[in-house]
Amino acid sequence: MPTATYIPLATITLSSTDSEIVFASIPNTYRDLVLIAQGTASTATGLVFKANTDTGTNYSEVYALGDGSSPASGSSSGTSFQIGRFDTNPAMSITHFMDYSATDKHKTVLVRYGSASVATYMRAARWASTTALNQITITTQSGTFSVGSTFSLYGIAG
Amino acid sequence: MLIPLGILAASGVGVAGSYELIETYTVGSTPQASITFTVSSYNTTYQHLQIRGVGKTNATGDINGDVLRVRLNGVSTSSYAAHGLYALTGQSTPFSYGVTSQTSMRAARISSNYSGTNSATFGATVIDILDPYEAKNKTIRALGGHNSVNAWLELSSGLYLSTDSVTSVTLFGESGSFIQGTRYSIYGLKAS
Repeated sequence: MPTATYIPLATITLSSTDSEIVFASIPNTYRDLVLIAQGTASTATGLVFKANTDTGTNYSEVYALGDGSSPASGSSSGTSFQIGRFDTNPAMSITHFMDYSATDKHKTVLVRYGSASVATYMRAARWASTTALNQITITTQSGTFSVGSTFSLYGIAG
Repeated sequence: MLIPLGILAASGVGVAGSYELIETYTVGSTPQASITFTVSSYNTTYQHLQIRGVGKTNATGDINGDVLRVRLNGVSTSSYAAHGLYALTGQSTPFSYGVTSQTSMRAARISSNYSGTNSATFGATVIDILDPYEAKNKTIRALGGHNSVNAWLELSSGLYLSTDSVTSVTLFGESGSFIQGTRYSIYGLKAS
């Protein structure tokens, strides 16, 4: 019997500027999470993701982008990875956290994002931990998220 | 700003109905050469289908992992075409491919048992199958990637040259069998 899913868990629309968004106490009752972010920032900035309270070098990523003149790609590892990019013009990102609560797998993340005034991006990333993801922290690299920016988290059964 | 989700989220409260989980397949201790979802009975229920999951095969030969491939209706004749954009470790510009007359459609790369790959590392893929029940050639889009010994990211667009209604979707690894922990779920999206 099909099961209705894609359940909205939480949405925040900023009523004041902020440099950090945290979704805490995420239940482990879904299979995947989808985070949709849309908004602007005081200056061009990446949306920096950290899982739970992990500040270790447990994050790796590969990305590609097209800005209309110079396609580029790269890979890196470190203490975080990006799940979007905002600037003073509207931008959006869709992030898939796959098998986020599994305790036998590292967490693989797929991201598509872009701003019509800058570039379009895609990313595949890994949080190298078998701990269930129970907190998503998104911070700016520079500046602040603007009033009216929205961040919506959905749970998908599987 | 901190948003504690808590009890409300755990109860699953939310809008229901337009996006539904049809089936999930998880590979156990015996490797599986392929995973097939039968979808013929949903032709009056859903407009589109989506497959989401994480996968890993027991292939060992390629530092870039294995390729996740898709067949519709069990057809293995030269009925598929695809284009893709991909990026990998050590490269500063992305690459692309275009292929025709294929016996299956390439979706993306997933993790494998290549030497040095962490046992907990899998590759994720989201596959959209658009208008599977309409009398038109079928369009498939996939986004996938993994960060294993090498990292790989791929966006692909595929074509199945048949106007037949989709009755089944089969996933398989190009070089190996799916191993324990591999999980794919199929979802239906309703029309308005």
